[in-house]
Amino acid sequence: MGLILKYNIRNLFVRRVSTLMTLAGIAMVVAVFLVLMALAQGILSIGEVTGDPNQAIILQKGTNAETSSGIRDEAADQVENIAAIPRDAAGPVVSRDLFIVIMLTRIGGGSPVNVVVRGVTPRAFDVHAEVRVDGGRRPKGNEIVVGRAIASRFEKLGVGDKVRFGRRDWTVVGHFDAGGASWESEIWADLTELQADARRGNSVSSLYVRLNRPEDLGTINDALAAVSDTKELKAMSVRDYFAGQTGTARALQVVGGFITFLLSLGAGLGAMNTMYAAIGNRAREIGTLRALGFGRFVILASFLFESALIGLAGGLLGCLIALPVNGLQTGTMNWVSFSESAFRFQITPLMLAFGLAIGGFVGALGGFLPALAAARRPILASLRAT
Amino acid sequence: MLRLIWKNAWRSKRRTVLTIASVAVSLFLLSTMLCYLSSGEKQLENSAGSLRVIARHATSLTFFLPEAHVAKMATVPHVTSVQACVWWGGQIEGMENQIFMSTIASDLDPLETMWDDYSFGPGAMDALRGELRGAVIAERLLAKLKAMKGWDIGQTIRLHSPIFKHDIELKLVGTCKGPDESILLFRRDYLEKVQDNPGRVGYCWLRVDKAENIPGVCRDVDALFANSDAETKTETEKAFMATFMSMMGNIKDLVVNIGLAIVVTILLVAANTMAMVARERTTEHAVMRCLGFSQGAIAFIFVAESVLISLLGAAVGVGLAAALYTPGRYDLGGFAPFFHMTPATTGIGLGIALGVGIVAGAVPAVAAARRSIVDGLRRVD
Repeated sequence: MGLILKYNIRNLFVRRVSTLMTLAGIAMVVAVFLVLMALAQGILSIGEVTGDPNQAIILQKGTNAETSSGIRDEAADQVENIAAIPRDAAGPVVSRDLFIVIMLTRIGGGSPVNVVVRGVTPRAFDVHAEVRVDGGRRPKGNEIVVGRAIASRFEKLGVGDKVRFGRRDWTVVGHFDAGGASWESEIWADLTELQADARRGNSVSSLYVRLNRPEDLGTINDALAAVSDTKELKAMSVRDYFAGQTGTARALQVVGGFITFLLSLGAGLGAMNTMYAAIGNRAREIGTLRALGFGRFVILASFLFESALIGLAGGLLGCLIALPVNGLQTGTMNWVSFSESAFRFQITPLMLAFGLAIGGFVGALGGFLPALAAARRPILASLRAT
Repeated sequence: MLRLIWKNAWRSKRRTVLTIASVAVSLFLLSTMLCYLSSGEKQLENSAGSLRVIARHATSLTFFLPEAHVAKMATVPHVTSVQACVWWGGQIEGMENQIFMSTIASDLDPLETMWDDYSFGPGAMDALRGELRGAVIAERLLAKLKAMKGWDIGQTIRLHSPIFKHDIELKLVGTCKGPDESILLFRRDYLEKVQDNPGRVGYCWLRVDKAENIPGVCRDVDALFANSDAETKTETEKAFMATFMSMMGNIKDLVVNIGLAIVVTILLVAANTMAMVARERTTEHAVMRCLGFSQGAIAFIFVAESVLISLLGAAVGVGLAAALYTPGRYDLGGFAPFFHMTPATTGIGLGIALGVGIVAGAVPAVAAARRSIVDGLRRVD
């Protein structure tokens, strides 16, 4: 068996131009597959990273988004009285957020797009412990801090820049990092200033609370329902809230699957051509191998191996072509808040394994019929071939 | 000579059929992507000649305008009518992500003059005037809902919205047909009755008398509300559409890049086939040269064969796309209302096939033509 495998591998080098072309075709398929899946994975990961199971969001009943939720001051005060919500020296750990959408222009111009501005109190930094502002400066007065993911994508969001929205110019005093969470696509301002600027009185959009344990969610919902001020509110886990916002990723996975399927078919047919030619040229060699005592099955397996090897090498090349997009920053629209959601392309080891497998599979698919033809051919006919 | 090219192409039937099939599959895929791109272009193009401008809150669409703005806008010179709208974002219970509907609450009167590119079904507007909860639905959307839910004209439907708190109940009273085929229009005075804080308008469409007055109207409207509680941003329909498209991200770039990868794949398959053919025919080419065929003639015959094969592949792939993607058949859930083959997409598909055929044939053709006769004759395989 070792001999015949060496024979197959050497043959790949003998006809290197056609091997290379087939290989490159398969590499294209794998690269396209990986780029699309990396895009989908990037969107999905926003939901995964943001979804801390120990955080809950409280919204108005009947809405699924902060955009359309409104909570009055008195109701928010009541929520802070709920016993299941943890406290520290400064009181209950509840973040009152005002959620507003503004329009900004991307670097490079084009039409302005929607960006989220969140009015927060210092409590926000306790609830969302993953948020770290460079230099530690938190927004006061006309100041804002900008999420790292959008800071580099929009005009006038550098530290020290002034940007106009609402009724005034705001000064960027820092950028913040949130480990890839959704907050990185947002601008944070002081709650009271933003409420005044947007003329929202004392009302907020949502409340974020830390939970001692994920099971406390039920207790909180019971407590909300028990008081008349808060019975119009509901609590849900932040993980569920953000998981509902990744519809685009699923659509991308479907489209990616469709494209990969058709393109694999195209490249597979090309590989079949290559293998038929390879086998046709080596008819006499195949006859000799058979005469030496190699069985039909060994011949079938060896040619299948040869073409799967091209496919695997193609898959490997495809992975190498696609790898540079890993970590590339891009953005899409969040269909719930209708605003920019920045994320990075993400290639996972599992995706690379899938890519290699697709390459090998396309190669084997293209090689199967030709290998079968080679195995079936009678010894005499093969030996007599010129 | 044509006969020779045709016969040559079919000397190895299996190889030619495989190559054609491979090119066909890839070009079918490419045509699919071209349809998506051309749908986006068409959407922009449709809005370019429009006499409508849209006024919204300067901060963003998610902010409401006070209703008092509407009457003031109507006083701006060259504005012939104003239509106040609210984007309601209606969804059907249990089908939230399956169907896209442009659910819009609108003022009744300017509807027909404002949207002269829409045709309303017979009696649809009268029925809407007579029924507070009435709604007019796009024919396409109705057909979809009929298939999925069995809904028809006369049906009362219940919708909820991620933006508004209270559900609404609408009675379908008529149909309309126009560029937006997923539209569901209902009366703004009904919405005012249902919602908690009335007197808020999402955005206003303004009709301008002449195209040359559009920039002036945009400027005057925004100047009218400058420094008010709700400043406005007024822009043309085309600019507004462009905003929506750019928000979806660089989908266009992504599609174009994938399209390029597909072209490269086709090219590799076709070039590989032609390289194989050239290798087989080395001796034959030398014999032809001996018979007096010039180098140019041999290269031409060879490239013509390559072009023939890839055009046959294109005929199958692009043809299949043209048969499948007919106008009005698919709209990708409302995202690409003009998802169908056009003369332009067909032309691009065939053009790419022609280019691939030439490039794939050229390199082996030149090599074959240049090979010295003696060398070619000496080779034995």
